[in-house]
Amino acid sequence: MFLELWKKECGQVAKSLIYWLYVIVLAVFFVSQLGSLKSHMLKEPKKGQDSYAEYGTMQSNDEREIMRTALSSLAQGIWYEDFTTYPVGFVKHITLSEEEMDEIEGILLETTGMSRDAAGEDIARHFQENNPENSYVPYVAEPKEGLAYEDFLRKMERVSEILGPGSDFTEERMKASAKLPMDYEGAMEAYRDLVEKDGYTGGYLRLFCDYMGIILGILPVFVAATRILRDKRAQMQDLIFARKASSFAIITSRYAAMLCMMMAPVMVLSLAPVVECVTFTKGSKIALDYLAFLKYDLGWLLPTVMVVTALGLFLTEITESALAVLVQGIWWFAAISLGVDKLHGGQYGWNLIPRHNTEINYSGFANGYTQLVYNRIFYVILAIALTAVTILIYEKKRKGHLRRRGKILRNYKRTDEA
Amino acid sequence: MKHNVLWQILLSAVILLLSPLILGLRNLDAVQSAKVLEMYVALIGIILLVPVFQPEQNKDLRDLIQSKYTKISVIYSVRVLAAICIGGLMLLIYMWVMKQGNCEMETGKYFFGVMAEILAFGGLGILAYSLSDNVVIGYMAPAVYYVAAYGGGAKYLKKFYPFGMVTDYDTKYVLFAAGLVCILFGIIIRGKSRR
Amino acid sequence: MKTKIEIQHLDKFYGQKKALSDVSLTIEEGMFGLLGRNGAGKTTIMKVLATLLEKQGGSVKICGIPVENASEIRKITGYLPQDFSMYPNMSVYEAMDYLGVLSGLTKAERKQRIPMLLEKVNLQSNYRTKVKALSGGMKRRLGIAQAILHNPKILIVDEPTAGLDPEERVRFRNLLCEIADDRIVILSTHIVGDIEATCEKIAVLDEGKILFQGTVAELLHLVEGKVYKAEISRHELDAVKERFLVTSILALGNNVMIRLLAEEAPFQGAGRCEPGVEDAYMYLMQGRGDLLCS
Repeated sequence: MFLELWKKECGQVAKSLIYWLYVIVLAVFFVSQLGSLKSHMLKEPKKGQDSYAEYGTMQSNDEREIMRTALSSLAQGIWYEDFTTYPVGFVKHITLSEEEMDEIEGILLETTGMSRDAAGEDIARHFQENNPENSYVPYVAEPKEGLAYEDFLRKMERVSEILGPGSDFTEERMKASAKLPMDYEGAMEAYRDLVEKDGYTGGYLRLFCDYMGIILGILPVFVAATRILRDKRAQMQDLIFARKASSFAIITSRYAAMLCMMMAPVMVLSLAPVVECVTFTKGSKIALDYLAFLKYDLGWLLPTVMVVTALGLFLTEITESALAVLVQGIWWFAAISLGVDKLHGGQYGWNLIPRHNTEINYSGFANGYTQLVYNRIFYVILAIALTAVTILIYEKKRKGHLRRRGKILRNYKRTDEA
Repeated sequence: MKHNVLWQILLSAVILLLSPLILGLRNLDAVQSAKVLEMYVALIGIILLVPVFQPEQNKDLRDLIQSKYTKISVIYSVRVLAAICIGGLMLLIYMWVMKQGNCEMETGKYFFGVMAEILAFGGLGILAYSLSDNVVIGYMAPAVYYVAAYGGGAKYLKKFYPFGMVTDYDTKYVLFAAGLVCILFGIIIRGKSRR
Repeated sequence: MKTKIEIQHLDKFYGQKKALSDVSLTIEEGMFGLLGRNGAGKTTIMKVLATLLEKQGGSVKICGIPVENASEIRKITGYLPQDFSMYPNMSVYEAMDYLGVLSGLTKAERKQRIPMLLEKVNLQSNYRTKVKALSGGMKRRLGIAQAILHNPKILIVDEPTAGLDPEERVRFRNLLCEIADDRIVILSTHIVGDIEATCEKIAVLDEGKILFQGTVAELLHLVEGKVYKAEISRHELDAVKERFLVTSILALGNNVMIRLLAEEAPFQGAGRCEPGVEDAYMYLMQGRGDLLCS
């Protein structure tokens, strides 16, 4: 019975307007963001190129440099009494309490040997010597002699705790601020990673997943909400409830059908970068990973679609309204904003939409791989849990609980009140 | 009418009230203020305006209402107007709070800019709803519009780019007009709908 | 297992309100009618039988299976709700097919039964008609077809003829009688005519309690010899209504033809007549608040 129901549900989805709108939006988004990858495909870097920028940038591991950049920022923040953080991509100015300020000033003293006033003098002196009107030379604060890097890191961690999320003093940010342009060796390494470890297609599929994740973090909720609301609008619930089919079969067949129908166009679209790769690398000795698209579609994108759809099912079933759309909208907004400074990939965290806005940075991917796997598994489990709860709710409704009396739903005026 | 609009007001109020937790509302310069207003606050346009037809979603109920004296399009227009006023009020309060927090902004210009966006987002949703008879699609249209704009849409959207407060203020006039047109057509089409 | 429904001391509350109070009924093969006004509790009983509501007290067994065993019960019951409605954009055949899958029928079974049932309800030329284009009567007939799709032993029909024109009503009643051959068909209604035309046994329900249970003949016996017919002038009507229970009024120019209940001949010119179900119903409902008309 499940198979039959699943087939019917797929048919239902295929006949609904909202599904085709979904497909169109998906396709348009794909074309606009990833349109032609041909112009971006990486070739082997040659010695003596002007710039290797397309192969990324290199992290400066010069500890001194990192310390310098961070401490300058700290000194200025203390002197001007203004710290900015970017918790969700929007700027936020932080005001500190007296104790917090004292503590941070203490840290400045320990790391640079400068008190607040001393820092102020130092900054003033710097800008007198280097008039910002002529050319802006950033202020640099020197770390104290003998300051150990680990000690420095510990202190900066404390500062970022005080300031809250998104500050300049987290380890990632500090390292990120100290970046150098890519050189030939670095570029070669990135390219080799792409060819050998990624099978060339892997890199582009990661890029595909990055972009498609953005739209898939919200679009499925519309399809899910519509399907559930349709039953309510047609007032067919009783007919379905009174039948033999179990709540489990009904809900899971609907869910499975929606997932299949929604992932199908995604998988078709994911073949486009593969095809581009094939054409681009024709004649070369590069061994392509032809099946990478399966790994990425199912491993990277499917969990996002699963959980967005499951949440949509759950909220729509329980509220019988379009609330799921708004909730998902908020979640999407948060996920996107949180990922704004992690675009380069490798820092996947627990984000619904893991970002990796480049075909390279395989090392970042490798480093963040375990976290990514945990992340994706988490969302799959969450999706299953939400579906299970939905089944329970459906079953309760079937027995006559959780229903509202009267034929017309809460949001709609009752005929007699009109 | 009051009991129809309540949850939308509440939800809008909630997302506005929560915003200081994640955004900073103090000491923003002109560009940052614009960003907060046009990328976040304008979203209340979607919440407040799109569900305007929902109370009469049931077809029988629609027929019943349409047979009464007051034309149904008048009812819708009143609702839309009320929603816009409430949105405007919320916006004013929010901007006032920002000003208290020492944010830089050109009040009149920004106010009009965000209202234009509210009309555009809401209007697009209303039109989508009336054409499809489906409130979910009504929400989807402005959501997709927003996502498109967010994902670097200035190129494609040109004069319809919703986040042009600082870069290209002309877009706001376009949005304002487009929003009004969408709302108008949405109400007319819905009023005539026999579906 | 014999086809039988046994309800004993059934209670059902909606919050504080008692919807059903100590209801006991035994229903056997054939057409069974539940008569009562709106809010009497008819739909509640039907929904409990269809496993769509949970009871609070008492026991309900269908063919020996307790109603808590929902999945088993759903296999042998078919339900046609009062506000029957389907996805408007589906065609008749598609709708039946979808509901058939939900009832666990295989493709072969569906292919065989659906055309047969649609013919039985006279919708065989409407396979492709969209549900939203069906008339009220056609929709109801579709409703019956879907309810017996899986050949259930029990058919539960809630207010089936409400909103149908007289011709459709007759057709529908006939259809139900045909179907009742080797099944239990439970029919709830506030239209007395439905009962008269189709049911052998009935129960009268009011405010969640059973006022009467038995055959139609037994019901009529309650008012045997108490029903009178008379023709009076219009302005006498109000006075008569105050003194007696008037069960029907028919306008005849300046006069009215009335039927009323009385222990003995009420006044000059009133003749005794055969009691009808309506009279008996009114008699039972005496003093219980607003009376209904048919």
